[in-house]
Amino acid sequence: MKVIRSTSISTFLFILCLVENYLNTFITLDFGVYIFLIFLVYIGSEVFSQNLVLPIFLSGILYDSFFSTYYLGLYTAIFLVVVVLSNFIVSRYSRTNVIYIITISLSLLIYKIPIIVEFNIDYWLASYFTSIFVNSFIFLSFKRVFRINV
Amino acid sequence: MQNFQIVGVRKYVVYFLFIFLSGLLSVVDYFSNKTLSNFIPDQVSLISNFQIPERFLQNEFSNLSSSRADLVAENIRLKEELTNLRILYVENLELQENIDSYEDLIKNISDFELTYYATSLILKNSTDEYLISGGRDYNFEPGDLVINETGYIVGYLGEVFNDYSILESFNSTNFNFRAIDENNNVFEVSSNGKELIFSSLDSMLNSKVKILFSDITFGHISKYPLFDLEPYEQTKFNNKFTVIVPIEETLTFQSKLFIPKSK
Repeated sequence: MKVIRSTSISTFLFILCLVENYLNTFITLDFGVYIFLIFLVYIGSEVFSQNLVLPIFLSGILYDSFFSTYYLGLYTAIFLVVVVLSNFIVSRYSRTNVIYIITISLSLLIYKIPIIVEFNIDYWLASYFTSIFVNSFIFLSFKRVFRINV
Repeated sequence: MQNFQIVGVRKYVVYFLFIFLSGLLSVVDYFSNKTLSNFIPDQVSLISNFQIPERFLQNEFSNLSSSRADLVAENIRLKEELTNLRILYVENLELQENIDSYEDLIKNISDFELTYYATSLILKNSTDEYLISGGRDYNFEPGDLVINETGYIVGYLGEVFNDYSILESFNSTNFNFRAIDENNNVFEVSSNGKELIFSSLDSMLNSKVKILFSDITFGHISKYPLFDLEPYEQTKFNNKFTVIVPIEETLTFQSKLFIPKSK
């Protein structure tokens, strides 16, 4: 049962990752909609559990293998760090919208670290700030909808 | 309070272990020349497995019992024919588009000794690199040139997997290319994501740089135009040219791409 659960969560996360990449291939504007990142932040801030470490690790390994030109494990580590960081910030400080926006800003910074390291600041800064705004809005809306449904 | 802090840190222990494991994998992958990261893609043909089977696109009405009233049967037959016609229509449109893009390509290239494999965009990854269809199944290799329908180079293959490849395009983080001009002066081309930087490696006597081309001396399969630098501002220092060109065109799902390979 545990194996099936882990496998299905890993598959779901990998598909979410794929959908995120597809979405950003369509978007030609200077920002990205990072639904996978939003979900990682959601895991970190709302449903943090040690049982989720393996599915996140597996989805990272699949992403690294199929879609990244970097060494195996880089994006896996990034995904895990994002979850740990978002949980750390949310459990240390109060759960306000400002804290969530700060969490998304820092997580996005980590998420985009390969681009940040490779390119100069002109390339990613404008897109980074717009993405914070867009993704924070999506995250807060998602949280509100989920809370109403629950 | 102290106990609470210990519990707070303890909950991350498993995560830190897996982060450490990821780091370890990266190190092994680095020293094994990416054998580890290529292991899974070498075993699985991901893109072909995602193709929608044709039977899902067709109507299943043909399986209905023939004992139904003639009118219903006629209706079904007509619906089926209509579905087939729609499939043919879509197929025809795709073929027409292919013919048009090949016709455009033929007008712009001079080397007909090569085979031109049509390829298309699959998606863009998190580091702004494009995944395109076709990989080892078409004998593609890292470094193969990718050209558009006007015959101009849009990038080269960075990594090749079973049925897809990663394209290093102008706005890719790893784009690095060598080209020559009409007078055989060598240029190094790099990208900062928003601009292409062309720098001449040799001292040049020309007053202006024109079109740059790929060349077999750099392992390229043939001579294809890369960029016409004439309209852009060119700076000359110590007889070496530097030209900075903003990247204006990005690839879309509609972009027609070709990979030239020897027959």
